[in-house]
Amino acid sequence: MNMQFRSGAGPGASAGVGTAIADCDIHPARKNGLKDLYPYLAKRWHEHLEVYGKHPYQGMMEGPPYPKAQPNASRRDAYPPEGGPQGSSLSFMQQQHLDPNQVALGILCPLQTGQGIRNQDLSAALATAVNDWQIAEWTGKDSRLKGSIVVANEDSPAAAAEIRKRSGDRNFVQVLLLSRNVEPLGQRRYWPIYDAAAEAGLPVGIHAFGFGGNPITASGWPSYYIEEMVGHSQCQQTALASIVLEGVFERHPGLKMVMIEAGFGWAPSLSWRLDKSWQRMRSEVPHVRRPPSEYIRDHIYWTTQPMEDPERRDHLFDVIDWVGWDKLLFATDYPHWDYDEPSRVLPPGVSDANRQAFYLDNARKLYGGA
Amino acid sequence: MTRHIVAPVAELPPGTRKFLTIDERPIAVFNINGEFFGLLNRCPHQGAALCEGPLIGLAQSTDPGTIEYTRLGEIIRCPWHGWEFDIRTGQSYCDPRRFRAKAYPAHVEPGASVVKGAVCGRDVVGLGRTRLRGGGFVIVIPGRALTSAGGSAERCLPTRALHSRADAERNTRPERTACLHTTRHANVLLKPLNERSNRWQTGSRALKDRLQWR
Repeated sequence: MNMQFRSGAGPGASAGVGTAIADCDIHPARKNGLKDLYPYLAKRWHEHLEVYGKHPYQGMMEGPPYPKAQPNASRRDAYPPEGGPQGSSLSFMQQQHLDPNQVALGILCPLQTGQGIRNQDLSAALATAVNDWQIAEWTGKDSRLKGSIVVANEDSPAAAAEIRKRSGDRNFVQVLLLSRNVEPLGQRRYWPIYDAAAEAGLPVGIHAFGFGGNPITASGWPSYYIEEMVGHSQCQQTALASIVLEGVFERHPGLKMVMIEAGFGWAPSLSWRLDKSWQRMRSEVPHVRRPPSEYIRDHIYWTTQPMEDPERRDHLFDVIDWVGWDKLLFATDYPHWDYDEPSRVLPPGVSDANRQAFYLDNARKLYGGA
Repeated sequence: MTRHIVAPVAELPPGTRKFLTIDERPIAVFNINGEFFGLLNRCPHQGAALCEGPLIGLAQSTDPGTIEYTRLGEIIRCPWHGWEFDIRTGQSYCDPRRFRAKAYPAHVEPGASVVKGAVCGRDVVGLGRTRLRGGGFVIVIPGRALTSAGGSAERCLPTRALHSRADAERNTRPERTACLHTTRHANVLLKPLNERSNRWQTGSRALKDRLQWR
């Protein structure tokens, strides 16, 4: 079969969707590791980091398991020409991704920050430093990009203070949590975070990964990275079930949450299972006044990467019908290696209205106009 | 089909690869222990620059705990999602039935037989298939100007015609990467076929059936 080649388009260059898109999961990286945060960190933390380092809640090993299948878990062709790790150069991100893909709205989700570390003062200091860094290096330089408020997730009063500090700042469009925490995310120790987010009118994004000291599975530590990859769904299910069943959405009827990078194919089956159990055990959780699936349909958005990829597209459409075409937020996860090329994720058979919602309009509605 | 000259063998030592643009197609030619293979520089998965990935070996196992690692340098791993492809054939290892990278056979010919007077005494690598009939070469002339990697449009001449002096003079710098000719059995403008056979972008039903093998 003949492939149609556009002249001038290099291999690996985006074919583009043809219209503007949102990218609800971009990972900006730092050229020089933690040192790039020093301008935003008090001096006492410089020395602390160099002498003691960051201690995450992570059993069995001292740090996160890298490389993850590709260097820095990122595309090999995403190294900026001027040096530094993938994702550390705004100009190269613009050139390789934002411009050719017509990203009209890009949501930053910084990782390897102070989230999930045990020294809570350091966690809070790093969180606010990363937020300053996002403004200085990213959102302040490219108005298409919007930041996420990184918070000290295990110290919720400190996290709430950081959210209040940034409230009203148009550089930020959501609060960022990770899916692996010390306790399931619906529990009361995390409620001040949701209180502050609801107060600020911001959605809360829950991104895959993190450090909680707990295995990614419900039954122990897996052997392979591939188990970790599919385990993100399990983590997110724990978080979501907890949030719904602890009554977070009863407490905050207007709060929206975004499940980031954990898939959405499991959403219908989890919801059916929750509903069935709730019908039988409603008296244990009387504060859950509606079927759990209703909370999920009303409050939860899902980023699409890594896109579900069943053999039959009608299976995919069935799942999306349940989740809602109005609840999907397109994301690429640039520059990570499991990047989703925008022009290749949707099979044919999608209406124009749904395509438009999928690629941009849902994100615009949730995060505010670009 | 015309054969097209790619490069002198000396420019492609074993373990290296050379990137070309031929007829707007990005193609890389690999030297694996003295054998040459061409591969389209587009991953069939999501379009990444496949040929820029690392060369690896093949890890196989018949039993958990035992691994056989063979064919070093003959497998390429896509720089995006890490899919493994056999450089010799383009076969994928994650789903050989459905996915294949486009492979272009390549071989070495004595330079003198390709272009008289230009690369005498040197071997060149050519792409494409040849059929020998009656001692000569069978040529299919594309009939239109094809763009060489040098950028300027250049008519790719059949080998026999190059044996004339005038043609040799016209064909300057033959060791420059030349054009690749592909079998054009169906000149339709279909978008790249997505992985699953039920994800057709466009095209008639008859054509879909005929191209079902992809």
